[in-house]
Amino acid sequence: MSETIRILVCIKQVPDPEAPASSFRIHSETKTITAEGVPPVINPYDESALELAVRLKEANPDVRLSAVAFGAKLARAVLMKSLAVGADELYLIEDPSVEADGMITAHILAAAARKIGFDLILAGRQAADTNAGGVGLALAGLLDIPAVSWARKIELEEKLLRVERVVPEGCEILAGTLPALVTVSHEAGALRMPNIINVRKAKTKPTHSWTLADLEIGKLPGRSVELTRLEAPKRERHCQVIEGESPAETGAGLSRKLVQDGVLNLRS
Amino acid sequence: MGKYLLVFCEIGDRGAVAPASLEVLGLARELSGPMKLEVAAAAPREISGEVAECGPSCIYIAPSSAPTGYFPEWYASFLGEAARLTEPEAVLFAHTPLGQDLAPRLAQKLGTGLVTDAAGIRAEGKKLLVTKAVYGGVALATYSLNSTPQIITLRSRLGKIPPKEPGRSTETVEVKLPEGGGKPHWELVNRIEEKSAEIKLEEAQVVVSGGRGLGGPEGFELLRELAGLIGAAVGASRPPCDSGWIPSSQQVGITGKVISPQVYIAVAISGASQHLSGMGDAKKIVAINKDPDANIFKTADYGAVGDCRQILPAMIETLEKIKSEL
Ligand SMILES: Cc1cc2nc3c(=O)[nH]c(=O)nc-3n(C[C@H](O)[C@H](O)[C@H](O)COP(=O)(O)OP(=O)(O)OC[C@H]3O[C@@H](n4cnc5c(N)ncnc54)[C@H](O)[C@@H]3O)c2cc1C
Repeated sequence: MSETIRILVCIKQVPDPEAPASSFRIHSETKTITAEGVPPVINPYDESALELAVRLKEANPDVRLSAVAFGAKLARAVLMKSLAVGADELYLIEDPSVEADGMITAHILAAAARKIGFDLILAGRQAADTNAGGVGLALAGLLDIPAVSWARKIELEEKLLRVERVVPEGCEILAGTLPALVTVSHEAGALRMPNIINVRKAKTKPTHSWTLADLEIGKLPGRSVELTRLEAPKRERHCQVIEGESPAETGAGLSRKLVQDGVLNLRS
Repeated sequence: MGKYLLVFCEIGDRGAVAPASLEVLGLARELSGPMKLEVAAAAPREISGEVAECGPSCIYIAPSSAPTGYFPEWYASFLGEAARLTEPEAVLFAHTPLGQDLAPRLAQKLGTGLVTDAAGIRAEGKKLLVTKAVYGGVALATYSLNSTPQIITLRSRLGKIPPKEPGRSTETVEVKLPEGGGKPHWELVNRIEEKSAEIKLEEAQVVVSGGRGLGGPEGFELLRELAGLIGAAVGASRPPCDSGWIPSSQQVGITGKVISPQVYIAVAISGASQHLSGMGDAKKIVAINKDPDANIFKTADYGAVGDCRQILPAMIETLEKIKSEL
């Protein structure tokens, strides 16, 4: 009889990062951003983490896979995708009263992880909205478990973990033991599409709604990251468009212009 | 009240101090004046001599050489100890893979906050105001940190590499690792090199990048031909990397390399904000795209509208001709 291996995947809800830039409105006075008509999605890096978790579950029937999301206001239908692709249960921790930064989020997830139980925790390497990349590694520190960052592949054999970790010029293959936390990089690949049958099945899987009161958190740290300004990047430039009778002439004209203006230097 | 800005210096590809760390050291020197602080450096033993020549007031060195393999616990433990000894107002890292791995660990250890991927930084009293791209580059946020030390990772080229002062005497403190700080958890089983033959993006003055519109690896052959002619490195947007047309080491953007070359030529790239925040600071931007409304033209200095499969060969031919007449 083999034991159940509990895998926890942390998923954050973010506005769809692939939405056109023009749909985001920046309000500098209130330091807020609104994304008109942009649907919330699961952070793409967390989706990659979920994909690796689902592959582990496929390779190992003893895996029990839980997804956990924390946020002020969560879209259940969006996060249910985790169940549709293979998670066994979903935990939604909602609390509009906390304005969390990364460290606060890590504390909340740590309390949730302790309550749910875990052998392996996966999280995306960073969130597509804040682009910070602190929560996963901080969570490991709070739980006092070893962590490896930027995985693209994970294998599990009993309680032995094998991780392929992305480095600038290739990858490192690491071996370690559970419990552990792994942050996942986009090189792991995108999350599979759920099929219709599994979307329906997802509705019958357990979804637990918690607030902070359901967790034994103790005292949360104060908010340490303060937003002082929000603005649109100034990227507009005046573009000189090179005209030509044909694409070939345009290309020739562009080359001549770039050399003439000293943008390209062919002497060196 | 802290007295120091602590800079973590890491070992670069060539065994010397990583240039990105030297830039942070230079930046810390600039910030330290107005902040009325001194610069302390924390460095593995093997690069401590070189770091000392770059002007920190004092340097905290690890008790042994840096471990081989993946051993973030060792670094975090060393830095935790260096921070305990220096009580810094801020700990600054280069936004390298190692910096990104260590900064959150250190922040958690010290119970403080962190801001990563700073694209700009300035001091207001002892507080640092850090600007970075958020929402995939759609917005720029400025953050301050309410807890000390303020932990920050910084993009390259924010600071200037300080001049070396050989023979400079710098106070050196040897850091003892606390109990348990020396045990690796991860065993390095293998390291697989996926070296690309491309010129390093970070070091190139001219970069020619291709996007999804190149249609396949053959599109990049044409780009390489152009790049060879003008001494450029070849980069890409994310889709070509995801499809394996070019190694991911060549990806430009928020999750790839952040570069600011003299010239950036974007071929068949639409100009998504995630891409623009990786190259938007290039001195001159040239865009080639068949869609006249492509977003990339809004950020470009020069544009050519049309099919790159026809534009590129004509560009190459003309450049060859000009070159032969020089
Ligand atoms: C979390 C996250 C992180 C990301 N990080 C990055 C990143 O680091 N870097 C990055 O680049 N992207 C990143 N992306 C992806 C980004 O959002 C865009 O999807 C991507 O940049 C688009 O690449 P592209 O411009 O090559 O492709 P597309 O947007 O598909 O554009 C292709 C362009 O080619 C043009 N074209 C097509 N055929 C031709 C032709 N024959 N001749 C001329 N022009 C032609 C089209 O008009 C179009 O403008 C990220 C996305 C997310 C969600």
